[in-house]
Amino acid sequence: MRSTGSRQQFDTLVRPWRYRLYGVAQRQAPSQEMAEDWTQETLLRAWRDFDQLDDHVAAYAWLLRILNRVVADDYRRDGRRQQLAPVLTTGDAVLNGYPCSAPGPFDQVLKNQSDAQVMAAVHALPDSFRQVILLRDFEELSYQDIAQILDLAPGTVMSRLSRARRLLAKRLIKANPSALATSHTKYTSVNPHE
Amino acid sequence: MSDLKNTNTHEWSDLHAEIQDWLAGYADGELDEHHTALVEAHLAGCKTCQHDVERQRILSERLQMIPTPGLSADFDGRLDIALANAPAGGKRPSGRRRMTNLKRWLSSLRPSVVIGSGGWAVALVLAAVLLMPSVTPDNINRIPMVSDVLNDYQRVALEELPIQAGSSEVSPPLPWANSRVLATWMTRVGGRACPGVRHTPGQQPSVPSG
Repeated sequence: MRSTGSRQQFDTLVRPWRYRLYGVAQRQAPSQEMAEDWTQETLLRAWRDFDQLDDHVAAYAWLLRILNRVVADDYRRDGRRQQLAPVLTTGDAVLNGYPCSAPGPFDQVLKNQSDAQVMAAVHALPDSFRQVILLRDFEELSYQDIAQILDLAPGTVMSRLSRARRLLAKRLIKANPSALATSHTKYTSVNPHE
Repeated sequence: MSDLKNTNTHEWSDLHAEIQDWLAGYADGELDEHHTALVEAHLAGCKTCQHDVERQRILSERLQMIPTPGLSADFDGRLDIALANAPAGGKRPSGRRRMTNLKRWLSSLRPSVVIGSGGWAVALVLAAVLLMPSVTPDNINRIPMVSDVLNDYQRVALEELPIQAGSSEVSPPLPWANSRVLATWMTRVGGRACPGVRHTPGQQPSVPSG
């Protein structure tokens, strides 16, 4: 049995991160109930394995690492299949239909969409893409920290993030109400066989 | 000259493909000096990659503007209780979690899977009811192949095998030294009835000379 001091130390280190930890769980989970389950499970595992925390400065990264395992375990138990992560190049026709010199058409696409719509698009990304987007663009962690949390090489974090943002941008463009009409006009006007 | 041009185009294409995976790192300022210089040299001549860097910056800024979802006081209190009751280094109670998993599992079942599984289950039960009585241990002697063989064996033993006669009724045609008669019976040789004799091996029959 651990001492009261150990419990106090755990509370001091972990409590400040509860809010953000729940935020990460909530942005990944399909329901609020599941986000709460994941958060609770993460904190219970953290308490169980508190002796293994060497670097107290990196407590949040340690918690995110546990959360990542909790989510992976849950998906494995449910037999959920991994979604394929497509690779888009910078030459993609849809992306290039929306030039992005700010303020430009792509900037306008993002402004047209509510936070909920953008979050829905993030949520629909393949798991491997969504994880890096959440940890970088929402949690603002360094590539090094993300690599440790997800057990990846920093270079893999970078390539996944590049591809994830490209795919997210394309989906947001396609979800934009005016996107279909604009892209249709564009494709019909540059038919080389006419 | 043309080969040199093709080679250069090919190398540029490879570099273009590789650098696309570094653009997030460049946009986020996470590349080291060497890779930053490589990317900047490429960007100077590649419009689509320039746009991609700008797109990544705009998108990242937009995502950072989305507020973090709040943690309710009720859930915060439940976390406190769960942690207070959790033994250090041991298993924790997870009743609610198990119920949640069961609910999720039930709700994740697809109607087509349920109907398909149900159909197969009914078919298997019917097959078992129809087939099982004939292979239960009590009826094992009724298996056609075994009973047929037993009947054939008994019929052949009774009707077709030669009837054995006592050793006293038929005497061997010739006396064999050190041999012993095991069985005698009547058979037919060339249409004529004659006795058969089975005996243990012994010496050559003693045939009287002259």
